[in-house]
Amino acid sequence: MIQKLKLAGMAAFISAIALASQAQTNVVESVTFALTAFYQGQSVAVTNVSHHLTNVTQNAASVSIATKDIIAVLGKATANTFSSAAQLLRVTPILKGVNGPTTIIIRDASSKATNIVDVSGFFMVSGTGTAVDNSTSTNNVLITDTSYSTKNLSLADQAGYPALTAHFNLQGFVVANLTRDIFKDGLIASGSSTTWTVNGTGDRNGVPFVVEGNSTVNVSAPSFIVGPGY
Amino acid sequence: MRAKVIIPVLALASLILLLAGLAHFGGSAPSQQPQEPGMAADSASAARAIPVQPVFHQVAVVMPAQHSALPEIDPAIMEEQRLEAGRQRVAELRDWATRREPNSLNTILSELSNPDAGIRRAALAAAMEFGDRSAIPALQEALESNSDPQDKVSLQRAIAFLQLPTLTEADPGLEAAMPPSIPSGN
Repeated sequence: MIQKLKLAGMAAFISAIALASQAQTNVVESVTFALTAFYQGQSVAVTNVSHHLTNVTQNAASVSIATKDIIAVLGKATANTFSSAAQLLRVTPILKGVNGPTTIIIRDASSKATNIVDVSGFFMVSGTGTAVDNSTSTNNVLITDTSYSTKNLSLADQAGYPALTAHFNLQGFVVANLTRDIFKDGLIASGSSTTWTVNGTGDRNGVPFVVEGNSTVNVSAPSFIVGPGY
Repeated sequence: MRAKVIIPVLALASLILLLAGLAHFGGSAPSQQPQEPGMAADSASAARAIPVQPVFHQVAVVMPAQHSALPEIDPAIMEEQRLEAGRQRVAELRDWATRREPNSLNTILSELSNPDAGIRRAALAAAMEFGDRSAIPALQEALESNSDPQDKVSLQRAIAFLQLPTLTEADPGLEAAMPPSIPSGN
């Protein structure tokens, strides 16, 4: 009798784990940045005394801001040393067909133990107006969709953390291509890509800059994680 | 008591022998099998046997050898398969770039000459995301060999982007926060 009870308990435990792992699916997308920031470089003044002329040359200097630079900035603020294999990811949980709140994380899987840091609080995204869609649906299920819109994206300080060494406030044109596959009880984006052509302003250690470039959000392999996890 | 032990042991031993025998007969390589007269590979009218990986049993897929006998493949399906293969390649390129796997840069750069414009663009974006200046010679080579005006502009932008000092390089404090890139192995 005790043996039967033990077996029943184990079966119930395994079933509970199986149900819990099937209840949620995470869509994991990689976020990338390729920005060029222009800031004021050194000014050089040359004075010709005899001709009473002063020539001043101002130089615009530039730096590239790629994803790994943003990861480094966030690593410094969160007291993490990320490896060059660290990824910036957007994670959207889908629970019974409904999208949950999106989070931005850094996942560093280079070491033995994967380091995952939630950096959502440093990013702010907002729409600026109308979105225009070009879509195809079958039986009221959206299959393909290209959406055109404009959005704002900021990298800003978060309360409780040291100030970031770089900030920016970008706005730009967003093209989001979605091709969706139906997966169990939810809609899963497959082969989706979002490209933001952006420009804006920011600063590096308090030195202001203007910035242009692009940012992308892409479903990349492995795209979907069944069950909780990234 | 002794029978209780001996009978299961004998049964287990028989099972092992049976499994071993099945593995032996099923695992023999197709080339070791005598070819049937009607299966001659060069005969146009004969059916062709395609050997598959032997595991525990041999499987022969018989296909008609005459091309005209093959069912017509829907061009739309072929196009969809081609597009799907392209999408998968693009996803792989993005993934390699964001993970910065040491040996993937060469593969990324090899796709700069892919006939599929979507894959070429993804390879270029991946090279920028990878952020390794050792990619610049390959990008310059692609710039010289490519005749597409749009590609040329994108390649020039990518080269200029990689030649710039990075934000991390410009801020010594960040250098300590992130180790240098893994050598690409180039």
